[in-house]
Amino acid sequence: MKQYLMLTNEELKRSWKMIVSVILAMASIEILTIVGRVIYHERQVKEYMSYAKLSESDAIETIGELSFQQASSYFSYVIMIGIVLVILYAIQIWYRDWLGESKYIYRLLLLPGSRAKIFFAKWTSLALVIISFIGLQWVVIQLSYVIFNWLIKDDYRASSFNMSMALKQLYTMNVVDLLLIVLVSLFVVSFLFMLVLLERSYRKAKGLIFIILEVAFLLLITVGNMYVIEKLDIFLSQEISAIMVAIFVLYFVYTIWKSLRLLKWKISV
Amino acid sequence: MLEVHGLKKRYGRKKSILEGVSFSVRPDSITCLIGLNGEGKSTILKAIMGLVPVDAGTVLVDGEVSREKIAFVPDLQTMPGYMTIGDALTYMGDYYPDWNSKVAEELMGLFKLLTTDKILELSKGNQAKFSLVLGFALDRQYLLLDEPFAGIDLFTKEQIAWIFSSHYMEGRGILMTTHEIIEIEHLIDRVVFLQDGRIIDEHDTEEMREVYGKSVQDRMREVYQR
Repeated sequence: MKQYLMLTNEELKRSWKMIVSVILAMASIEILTIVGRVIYHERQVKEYMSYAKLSESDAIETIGELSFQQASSYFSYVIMIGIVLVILYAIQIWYRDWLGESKYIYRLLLLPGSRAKIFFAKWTSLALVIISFIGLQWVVIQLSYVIFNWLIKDDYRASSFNMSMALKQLYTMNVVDLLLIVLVSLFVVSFLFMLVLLERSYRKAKGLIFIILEVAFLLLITVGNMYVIEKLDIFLSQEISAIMVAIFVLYFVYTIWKSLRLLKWKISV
Repeated sequence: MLEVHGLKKRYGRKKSILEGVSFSVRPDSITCLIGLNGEGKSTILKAIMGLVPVDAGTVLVDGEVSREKIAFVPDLQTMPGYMTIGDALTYMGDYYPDWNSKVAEELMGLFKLLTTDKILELSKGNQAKFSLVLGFALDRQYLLLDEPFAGIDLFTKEQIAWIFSSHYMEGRGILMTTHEIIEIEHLIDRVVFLQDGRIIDEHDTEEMREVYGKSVQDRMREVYQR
């Protein structure tokens, strides 16, 4: 346990500059887009006023008020970039130990005790990054809303606080939904870890074949189950959700079990 | 005794790296694995440490399947690049219950290494010395060294060779791979010649010198130039 905690700390220590830089960059971009959208909207109204010789209220009526939903429309793209970066980090966290200037993977695999701690230390690092990412994004959205209200004149602002659909799905206040988002993210991380470990165990063509087989297997059980459930047509929607969650949890456990076996028996430096 | 029995390793269906390699390493002795490039010397060391999977074979230490008595010094840097030597020594102390910080300190002094130096900024020779510190400061009976003299200057080689005749060797069995046989020929107790993944010859060096009147290097020439 102590070694697992120390390794997790080590993993985070190795990446914290990159993680903090990315989070700060994303938060800055999001806040700047809010400021930019408010300024741009105000300028649009002013320009239209002088061009069409209209009063401010008429110009706003023509151009439209600016809602927080419109002002934060770029957030979805920034969040997508964040998701891609997390995926890349899930891959990089392993490959840097093989392909970096030093071959730290030798040291990790030679540490006394079970190799499972290596897997779980990297997995925990990703989990902490994902939870921090979601938490900080939530704070940035709240902060952006305050900034938006502070910057924009009352007449220019659409009254309701509406988030886009994408943001709504990501920033639910429902604990179960939040838990589900974190769980799905961790499943993706575990699946990526398994693919990386397959490649690092079998390498080249054989590694690629195993990766394709695992992806096909995942697709098969997902699509296959959905097809069977639909064909049978005997389950209530809640039962279908329960079946899908059960399959998802089983596959989640399978990815971790498979990764640990690869680390113990098949991995190659 | 460190015993290697019938190690087999293939890459794909055709490429065979190890073909049933068996040998043993006695405590208090230096055994040298000799072979041309690509003969599987490093693979044997990695296989002993479980760093590459093998298709068949077992490794026993004093009759048990365990790696807890073996330390491995590969021919590359294994500590994260951002660490200083001091960080790395602390790391070793944190993770290894059999880490001997007294030996580490002594060797650091003998090799004139500074704890404030960044690992990746060390010269090739100092990196090799530091790797040896990491290996010898573990209280383990067997030590595997992969090409400890590769790419370093003559004086550094002599400094490193010194450790094999020092008190740090007491009770230890060393298994090393090297091409640079001249510097350590007088220290080696046993040589194992590898070719095409097989052991083709094995000798106690003293016996080889006394009975056959040949040095390890002479025998190397005979084996690999025929």
